[in-house]
Amino acid sequence: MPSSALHGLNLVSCHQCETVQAADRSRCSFCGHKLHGRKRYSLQRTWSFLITALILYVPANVLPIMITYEMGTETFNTIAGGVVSLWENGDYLISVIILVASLLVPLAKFAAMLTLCLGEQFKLVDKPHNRVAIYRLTEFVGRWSMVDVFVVAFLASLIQLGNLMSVYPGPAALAFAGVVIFSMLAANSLDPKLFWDDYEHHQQH
Amino acid sequence: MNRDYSYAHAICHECDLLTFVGDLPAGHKAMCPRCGAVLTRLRKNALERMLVFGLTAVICLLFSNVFSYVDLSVQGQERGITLLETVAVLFELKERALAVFMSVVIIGLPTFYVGVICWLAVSIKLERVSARTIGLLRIVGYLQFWNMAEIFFLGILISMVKVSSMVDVEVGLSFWAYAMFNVFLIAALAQVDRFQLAQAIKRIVRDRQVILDAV
Repeated sequence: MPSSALHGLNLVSCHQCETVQAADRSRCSFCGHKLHGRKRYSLQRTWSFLITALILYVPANVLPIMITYEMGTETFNTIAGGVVSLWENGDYLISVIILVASLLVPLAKFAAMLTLCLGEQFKLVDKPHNRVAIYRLTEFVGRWSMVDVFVVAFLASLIQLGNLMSVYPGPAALAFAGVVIFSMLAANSLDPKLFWDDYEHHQQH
Repeated sequence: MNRDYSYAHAICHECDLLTFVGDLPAGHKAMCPRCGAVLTRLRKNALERMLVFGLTAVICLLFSNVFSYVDLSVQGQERGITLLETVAVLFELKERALAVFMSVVIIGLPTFYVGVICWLAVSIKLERVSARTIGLLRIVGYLQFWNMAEIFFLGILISMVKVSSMVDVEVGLSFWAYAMFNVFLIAALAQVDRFQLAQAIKRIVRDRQVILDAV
């Protein structure tokens, strides 16, 4: 289905090598990749990835992300608990980085993706420029949330001093990695071309 | 549909507008006139820089595996780890899923990515393109998506500050090598533009065809 931006030309561009060619081909004339005018089942896939990420967000925040053994005592740290204890220790900068990367960015990303998906689902007509701005931001910042998982993994491999002091990743580490991966996939499977279809359709009437 | 759009035109990946791009001068970028997305960008000496920065990144990565990278000491006990040991310890702790994921996104994939772009740069520069060159170009998109080396580096920095109040940490030679690996990896990846690489390959194939026709 070519959009009206192509002025009736039946053209598509390959998703892997960006070669523009006739839309009736099944494979790219240059690199042989399968041709699709649009991302397939864009909205359905985005919804399913987004809901998976939302479900994983619960264990990621409730369960401990890091377990510390120090002189026989065990401490369980959740993401929010880590932010609070860093703040109390006076590491304000790191505390804020973790707060932003692990709590605010995923939440903002959920809000942004929900806005985009709901807007698309119920055909709420809005200037596509706004939606594109949200989309670009979500796509760009999403990966950086992984930093908290890497911090826990790195600390666990570095601090292994037996009874003196040991750090282990908690079950939330994997859940949080899942949150980030699935929200990255959700942003990736949402096709921004959909925003422009509604706009063009609206302008024509 | 007699016109051939396969060389000089681009369709915006965000809004589907067809735009004529042609041969972009070095140091310029083409933007979608409707939504403002960057269609393609050609950096100056892009191929040379891809190769030079890519190879430098590989050398830095090799160095970062030789020496220990962060050393820590608590009450007389000392411990140092290298980059590969980071994931090896996770395997020992039976955190297999985390270990596999980390080895892919912070070591395996970035290294492979650098190899791919060096290969592309050399084969396009020497005009020796084949089906394999095009096959490698195809996977660049996936590699871009899953590469998380620079995020891991930020993670190391945060970890060090986080534990510095409890234990003594010191960075080793490898830490600097790994920092440089990230700098050169980002520098090399900034030169990569799929549209320009594809266009360069098409140009070579087309010239080859002209010579064949003349003979």
